[in-house]
Amino acid sequence: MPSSRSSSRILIVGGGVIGTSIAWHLARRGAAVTLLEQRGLASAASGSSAGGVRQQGRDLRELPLAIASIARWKDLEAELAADIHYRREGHIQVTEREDDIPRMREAIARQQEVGLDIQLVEGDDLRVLVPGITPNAVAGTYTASDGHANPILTTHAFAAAAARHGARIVLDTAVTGIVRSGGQITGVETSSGPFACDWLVLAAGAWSTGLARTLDVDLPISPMGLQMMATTTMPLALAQVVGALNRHLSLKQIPSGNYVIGGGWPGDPDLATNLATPRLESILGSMDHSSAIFPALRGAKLERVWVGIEGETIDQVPILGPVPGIANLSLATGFTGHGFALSPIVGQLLSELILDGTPSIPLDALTFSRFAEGSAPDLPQARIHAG
Amino acid sequence: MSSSESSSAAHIDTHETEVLIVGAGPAGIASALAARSAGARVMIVDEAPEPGGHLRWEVPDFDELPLAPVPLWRSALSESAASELDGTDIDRLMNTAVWGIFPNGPGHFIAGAYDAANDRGIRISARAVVVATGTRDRAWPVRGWELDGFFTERQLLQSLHRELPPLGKRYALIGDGKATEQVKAAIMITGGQVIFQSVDINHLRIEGDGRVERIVDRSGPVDVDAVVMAFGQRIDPTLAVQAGAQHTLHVGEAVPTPFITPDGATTIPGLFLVGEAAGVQSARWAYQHGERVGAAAARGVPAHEPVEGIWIDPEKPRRPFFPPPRDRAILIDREEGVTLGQIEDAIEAGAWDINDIRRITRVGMGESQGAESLPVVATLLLWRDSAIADERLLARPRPPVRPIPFHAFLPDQAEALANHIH
Repeated sequence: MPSSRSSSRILIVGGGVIGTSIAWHLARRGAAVTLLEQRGLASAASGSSAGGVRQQGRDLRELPLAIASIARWKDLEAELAADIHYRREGHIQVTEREDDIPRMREAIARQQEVGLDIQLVEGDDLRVLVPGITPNAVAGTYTASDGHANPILTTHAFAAAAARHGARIVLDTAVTGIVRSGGQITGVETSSGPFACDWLVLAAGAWSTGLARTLDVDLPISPMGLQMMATTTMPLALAQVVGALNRHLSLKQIPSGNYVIGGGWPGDPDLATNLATPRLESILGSMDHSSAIFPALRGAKLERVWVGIEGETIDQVPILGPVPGIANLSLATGFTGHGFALSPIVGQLLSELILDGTPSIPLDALTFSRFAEGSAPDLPQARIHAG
Repeated sequence: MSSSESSSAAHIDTHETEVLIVGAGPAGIASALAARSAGARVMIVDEAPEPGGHLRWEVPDFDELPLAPVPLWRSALSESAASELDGTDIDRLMNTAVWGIFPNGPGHFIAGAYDAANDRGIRISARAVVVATGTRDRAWPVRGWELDGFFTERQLLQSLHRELPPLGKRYALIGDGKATEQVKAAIMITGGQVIFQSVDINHLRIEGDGRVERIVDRSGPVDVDAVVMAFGQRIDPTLAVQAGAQHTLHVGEAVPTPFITPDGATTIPGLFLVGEAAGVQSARWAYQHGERVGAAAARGVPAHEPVEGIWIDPEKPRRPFFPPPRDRAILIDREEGVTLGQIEDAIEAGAWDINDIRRITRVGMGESQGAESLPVVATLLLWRDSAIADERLLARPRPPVRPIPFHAFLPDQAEALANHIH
């Protein structure tokens, strides 16, 4: 059916940064797209993301996508005709232990092999690069092309651009069931009535599991609450995104002067209410780790703590592409707290998959089939939560 | 988290109690006494230096007034309420603000607190928590309200307590009726004068170069030194909402309000809301409510489904108490400098709910987290569409209720580093 694909009705479930990016990439090529969102745009994980746009430290299975995505980020503001606060000022992952340096060199070599421009920065060079870093930091792995952006503005910009190209963005509409006829999906039932479709894309984050279950598809995704914090505004002093080995930390300063601090500290999610509750231990731990690495934060004031509800896959990388046995279903879900940076490339690859039949970067390592019986999914590597 | 990480807060002073009362106004004091009488260990916490709540600022009856202007007055009611705690073994933590309540498994809470007098962080572990945080002033946007010299009622009362102004200070008063009585009395006993009064907020403009110099209405400008807005108070149950209690919209005030039973029980077992924060009006009724809720908190009440509060009348039209401002140049958020025009533009551009508007325009993103501005935004949305779902008007309050300094909550970094590495 490739020849008729561009005229087919494509339905996307999920109004986060992934769903809206897919909508934009399909709509710009003239496809008939409708996006269904149960609440508002960026109302779950995308609205809580710390906004890291990072390649380094990623699982090697998704690193090629991250590198290709960063190339897209460079021109994304022009492409979407929107200010999304993109800052490309580098990401550095520091350590306070000399013992870590050999391990860091190995990680650099592995990532360079895949094509990432990453280097080790040591001693005084580190302090010149990041003047506010703790004197205890001995080295860091640095990627100059990493950075950060505003996830809410980005989600809205994708949706607005898609709408300008004819996509329908339908909010306040929860999908309650998926209508299937044999190996083909024909539409969905929603709180606002039925929608027919020729192709369905599931990009519903932590809510994807429940939707897939109505198709007897068991996605290994569970809800995860990730805590973020923001300080009150302070003088601009940090350009890069900073992480640290042996710590739970992702630190950046946004253009308004607030520091935004994450790093994988847990909160308690509730899917029924889309509310998530922070934990005092996580707040205190995050204050401790962040100010240990960036001592100026000892003088900061904590302004706000929030918890995003993310879909976490069992092996920590997203599930992208087809589902065996269902001809017209695509998945783009389970980003496990690090999907924001991938959003441009995921939108592009999913649009290629749906309209052309083949994505320009192979998705084999990230498809649902990796969980099939007999195949052994890779165990999660040491991971960085940088949003 | 591993055990070494979860013990990262070991350096913070931890207090343990059975019933924690947040707020030492009439409702909090009555709750504390009732819970103690019922046999529970009780701790009462307030950010003020002494108990009494807003009674501490209240101007006493006229026959108690001194003859000369004084910056400090005492209310007999406040004294008697506070003295009730004397002679009990109820633990008191004054100068201490509870900034977050974190449910920690069934029947257990951990509160984050900050002792401003000693500049240190505190954790309080409790079996039940009673939120008795009272009310805050209603503040509604008026042109020029960002200028120095603009006060709401309690801001003025507190400032007059701190410092006696020059005699003859000229005030403009926005408001009428009973809500203005306290302000008028306070201005009088501190030697000031009210030379202008109006309630016609849509036709008022405050002007001045950085600070209040004049107020302008339809009949022209009047030179004044200060402007006071006295529109009464609204409920402040923020801590209970933030802790995760299920809540709905108080349509009149356009703020979130938790579902509670007559005993003050929220949907979180062990978390209670009492007094004026729960919508009870007047100190006297708040005190009586406290007697009931304090006893319930001590004995524990079972979990319950959401119960509509007494103030929700489905027959009444969904109209907030205040009409929205109309002047697009008016600042809705004085901290972040967000205008009505910016908010209307965001709504036109498809912002879906109050959280969307907040994140796009930064309204309510300042240090006060929109305590003043978000009810105005909710009101705007309600006036545009009275059938809008409550959920879209409920901005999620986040801890801390006001900013807290990192350093008060940090372990000694050198020691922490040593522990961390070895």
